[in-house]
Amino acid sequence: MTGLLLVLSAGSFIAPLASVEGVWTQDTHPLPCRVATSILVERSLAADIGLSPGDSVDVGSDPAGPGCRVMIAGVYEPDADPSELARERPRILMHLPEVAAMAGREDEVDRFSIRLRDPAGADDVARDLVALMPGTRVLRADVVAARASTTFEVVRRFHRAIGIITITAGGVFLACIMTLKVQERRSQVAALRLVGVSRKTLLSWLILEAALVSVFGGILGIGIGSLASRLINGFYQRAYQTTLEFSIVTTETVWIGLVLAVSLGLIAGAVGAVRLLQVDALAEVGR
Amino acid sequence: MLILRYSARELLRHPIRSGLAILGVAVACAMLLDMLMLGGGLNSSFESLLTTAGYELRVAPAGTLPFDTGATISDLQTVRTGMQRLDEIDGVAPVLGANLLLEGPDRPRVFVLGVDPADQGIYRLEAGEDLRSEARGERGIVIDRELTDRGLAIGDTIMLQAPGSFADARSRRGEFTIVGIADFLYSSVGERSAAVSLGTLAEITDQPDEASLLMVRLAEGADPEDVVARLRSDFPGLEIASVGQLVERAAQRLSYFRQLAVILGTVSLIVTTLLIGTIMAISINDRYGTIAALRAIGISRRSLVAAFALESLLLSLAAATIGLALGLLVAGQLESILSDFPGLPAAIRFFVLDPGRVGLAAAGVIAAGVLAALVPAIRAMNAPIASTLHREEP
Amino acid sequence: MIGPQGALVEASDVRREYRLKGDLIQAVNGVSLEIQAGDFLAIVGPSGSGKSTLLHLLGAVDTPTGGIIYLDGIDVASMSDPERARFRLEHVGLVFQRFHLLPMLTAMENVELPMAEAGVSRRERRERAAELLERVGLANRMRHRPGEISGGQRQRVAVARALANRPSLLLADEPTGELDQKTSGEVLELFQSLNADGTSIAVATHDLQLAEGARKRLVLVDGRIRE
Repeated sequence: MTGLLLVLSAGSFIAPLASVEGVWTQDTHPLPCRVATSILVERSLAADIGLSPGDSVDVGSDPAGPGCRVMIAGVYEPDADPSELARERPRILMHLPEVAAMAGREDEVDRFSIRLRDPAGADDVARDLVALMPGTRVLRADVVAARASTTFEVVRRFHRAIGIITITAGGVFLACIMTLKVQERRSQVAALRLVGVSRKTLLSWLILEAALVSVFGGILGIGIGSLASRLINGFYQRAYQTTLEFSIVTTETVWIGLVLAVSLGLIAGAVGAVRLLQVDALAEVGR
Repeated sequence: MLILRYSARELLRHPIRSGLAILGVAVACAMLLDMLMLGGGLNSSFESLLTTAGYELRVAPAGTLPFDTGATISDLQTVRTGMQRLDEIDGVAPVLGANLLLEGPDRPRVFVLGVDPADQGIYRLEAGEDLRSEARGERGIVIDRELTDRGLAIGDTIMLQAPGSFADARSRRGEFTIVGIADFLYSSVGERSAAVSLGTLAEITDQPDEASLLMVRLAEGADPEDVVARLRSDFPGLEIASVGQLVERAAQRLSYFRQLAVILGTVSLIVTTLLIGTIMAISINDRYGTIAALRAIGISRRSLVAAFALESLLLSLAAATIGLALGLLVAGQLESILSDFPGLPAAIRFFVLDPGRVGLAAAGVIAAGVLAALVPAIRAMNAPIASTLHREEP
Repeated sequence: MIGPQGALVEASDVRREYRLKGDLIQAVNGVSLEIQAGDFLAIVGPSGSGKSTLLHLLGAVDTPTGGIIYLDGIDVASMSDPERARFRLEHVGLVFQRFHLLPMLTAMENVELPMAEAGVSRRERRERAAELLERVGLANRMRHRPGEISGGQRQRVAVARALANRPSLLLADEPTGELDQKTSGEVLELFQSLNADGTSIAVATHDLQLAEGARKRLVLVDGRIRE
């Protein structure tokens, strides 16, 4: 993508009736109402209003005007682009000259892309083009991608903040439960010490127990998270009529989750175990 | 009741346990408050922003939201005159928007709004003069702080050029004198904004008798929904919406945050219930023998359940107090993250403090806590006294 | 009030059975006895003989599966659960082996508890609690919490609590079980003193010293009275 430049006008405006993008083919004559022309409609629009290949529809830029009769050549699935998620208006694809003529913008485009022979020279080329075309902006494709990703970067930071809060709450919850467990098991542990089980043995039992609980709890949590991820994808894919994956459980997230669960569980278990073993066994049993 | 005095002291008997439980529930309460603020914040903030200048309706080209696309309303004067014939309409303020390039070393983009100086609700003047009293002739311009940060000041002259006009550069640019500095109500974060007279901008962008948006002010007592219905039938080629309808559409676009708020808010309540329920269950289990003995000596089930409910209530109250303060602090941090959201007016707040929501968060946590305690309490009350005593006594 | 035959407590062919993992356990199996007003009865027997169960039945803490018990002239099994609770509050004083005092309340507040439940005014119950604590020799420990006094002293507070609502009958289940011999002797002296003042007492115990200190004894083996 870094080899491509996107040349933008200072304002990118789209025709009012539907968001229309065109594909230039040199031998098409831009006379939409005089020549039988064909369009592609996106899947969600076709499903919503019951269109199929072979159907004819009217397309125009003026709601009160007559429009041009065109034939639907096919139905297409748009790329799963996150930045398109909130798009309200459906899209159709037409030949560029026909769009321009229909919108009254002959010889105009909102943007075009350039593939360079030498991607390394992208910045120099961009500078030269701006000098040649003072009314335009010329941006590297990766810069455009980064700007388009701002929304998701904000959402990512927001999710991370929520995640930190949730882990904090979980950590406090865990510490609380461990404190309760210590109190619950004081007499049990005291009795075991009195019958001769060593502190070291007891410590290893308690930590092993904490480790097992943490591992099983972590695995269960991963399972629940994976299920939730599927539910989220199913819900939002249906809601936005897209194939985009909203939630992905990666190997990295699984490892982070397991490491966190086991670490927190072991720390809480170790602290609880040490406190349990500090109890005066005789006093505890004799109470 | 004496038994209730017991509840308060019982919490102090295990300070670490009680302290951790309070802390855990406080974090959950903070999350609940933040989610309640997030759930309603955007809508109320957006609505407040839209009604700031006192225009109840917005009119845009068909199928669009204001400034969503480059489409414009044509035959502006005809449309404006037609609307102003309605008794319910007090004023119609047209706005034309265009991205122009500021001439200079890096040619930054400036979103320029063409307004009728006599009737506008797009900006609030902070320094200098308004376009209304253009002391320096027709080509006055009001700029925002993003532009003053670049070193521009009142009295400076700047050149603005229309987009994509490199073929006929000379005719589609204009020289302006800065007359005022304003807060542009609907600018997004980092966006550079300026305002000139409508006619001047229309000339530069070659859009005579056009507007991107009409802001409609209603007469006192007029019902916005009624007027919208009438205007829709009179002007079918336009998108007409009241502030309420716009807020609803914006809410749909940002529905993710509302859904997240509902999910996380529910999770917070579940965590609260689980934590207090677990604490109380273990605490009550510890006291099964004593509970049976108290019932044996004649203390009623009702008194004992009330005691446990009060214990839980005190726990929840303490947690809610800390949690609300924590929630407000965290909301500030989350707001600073979300304020970078592109395309939204900088004045929009995601987290809006509302006494009703604070009360609801506190009530939710307290109710969840008390209900959570009732389950183990009622179980303990239903345990047979004799067999419990038999089990608890050596 | 007294029962049909004139006794404070009349138990006739009382049985208490319950199921434990499929087995039928007969904890009390056909016990008949009478406790007269002013009696000091010790129910003795080995561990598992049904002493505690019998005591709970006599005190309306539990209901018999067979037979009948009159306490203060009332058939305890005929009352509903809330009625039995109220009855115990007003007619029965209970003392437990493990004291079961509320640790975060003072001695005074622990003694006040049954009176508060019975609706006695604050002033009246404070006066009575002070009087009772003085009676059991703890006038200088009224503001102490259970954790701040000895085991014997805790048991005395428990006895004072049991007497708060002027019960017809004081029932004590292994009251010296957690105490050393010297302190057990002090508790026995307290019971003897209360009995001399007219309090009717029944204790379930395997403490020989306590059993010999009572005026009457009843031996229970496998849920039956051994003649």
